[in-house]
Amino acid sequence: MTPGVSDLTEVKRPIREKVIALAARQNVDVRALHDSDVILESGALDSVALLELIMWIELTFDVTIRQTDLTVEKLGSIDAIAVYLLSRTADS
Amino acid sequence: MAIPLHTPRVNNNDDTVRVLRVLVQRGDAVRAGDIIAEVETEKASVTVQAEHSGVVLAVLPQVQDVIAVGSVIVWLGVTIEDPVPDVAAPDDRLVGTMAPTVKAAQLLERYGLSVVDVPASAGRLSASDVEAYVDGQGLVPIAAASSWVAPEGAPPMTPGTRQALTPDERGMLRTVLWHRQEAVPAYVELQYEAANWDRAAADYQRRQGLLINPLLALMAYRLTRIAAANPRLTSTLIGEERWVYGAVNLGFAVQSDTTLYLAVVADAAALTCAQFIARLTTLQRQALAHQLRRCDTTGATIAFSSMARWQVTRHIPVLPPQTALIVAHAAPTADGRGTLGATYDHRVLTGSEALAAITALSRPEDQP
Repeated sequence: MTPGVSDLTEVKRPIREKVIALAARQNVDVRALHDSDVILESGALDSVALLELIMWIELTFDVTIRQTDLTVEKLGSIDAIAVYLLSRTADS
Repeated sequence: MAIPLHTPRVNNNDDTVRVLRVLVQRGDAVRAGDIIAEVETEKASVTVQAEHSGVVLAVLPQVQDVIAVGSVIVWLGVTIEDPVPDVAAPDDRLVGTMAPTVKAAQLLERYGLSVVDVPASAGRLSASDVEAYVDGQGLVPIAAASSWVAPEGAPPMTPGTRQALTPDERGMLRTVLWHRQEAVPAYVELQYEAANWDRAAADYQRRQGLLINPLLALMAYRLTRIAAANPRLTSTLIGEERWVYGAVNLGFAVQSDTTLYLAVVADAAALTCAQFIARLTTLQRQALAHQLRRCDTTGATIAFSSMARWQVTRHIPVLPPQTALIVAHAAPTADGRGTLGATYDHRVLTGSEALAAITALSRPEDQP
């Protein structure tokens, strides 16, 4: 079932799980990652894994992420991703 | 209203293609982007995607038919009741009469002939027509080295089953056969201080606020600029002449699941660095989703490949067909030294030219 995007806490949970799973594939344990941590700086995901995360977000939350939105400010942390999804839902 | 889906041009030299597979039949509902058929020439096979959504009204060719570029493969409609236009329209009748038999097509390929070279004795060009023409002209088969198709071999003694290759696997087969049979591949490499590039990429990423580390994209862009300044790097050999490409089309290797794509940034030298990174990122996203269009995977004139993600510290890539240079980027070793390699076509480039290219690439100073 597609998670709703009205509840930030509920949105963050699957995103966190996905980040942890993608990092685990690279033998990195990021279970201690805070929602506000910049994912890039944690070393959790390389470029391709970040793109895979973006694709997963698009499929899971039924949004199209614009190329210009691939910034640390908008999608750099779990918090930022959740806020971004909320704003996109509000836009639509 | 019926909408035609036309046969694509696979390359500049082939006016016909052979139909390998047709994946739809009358009554099937298709969506824009669905794969309808697969066609091939001697040099490449491609899938044909629906450009519109609709219902298949008619499928015109059959598997193994050789059909003209631009001819109609299927008609799509809104409903199955939509009338199918006259499939025997003048252009299509012409195609039908010119389409050679399979054996004739094989002979044409063997002797390097086109369907328009050989007169047909009846409505359809036959193998005997080609044989008669070849005898009359005293032609001999073109060199075996020009064939990129694996010879049919006897199966091994150990029992097993045959499995058809997927389109991606066939594409890879042609690439490696071109590398082995057409090019004269050689390889050079050098070691460089990887931290310089890492710093340059980190600076750029911070300044632009990018989510994705631009290291590989920046290096690929740098290669584009180097090639733009030295067009010999983007050339190939046609007979005994150099063919210097008019554009730097940067092929970038992208691994998606088990499929290796060469995503092509067309006319990359005309882009700014930011435009190049955006375009390449878009192609990477499409590749990871297995949604690259045919035009996004063809026409590379130079290429870049990295296996650093898998901590590979050296790899010797295969040249994409009709390119003279592919650069290999690898993971730095524990002492911080990275390796840049270059597979090059020695018919076209010298080792010193390839080395000069990767030497320039090893320095990030010119990055914006």
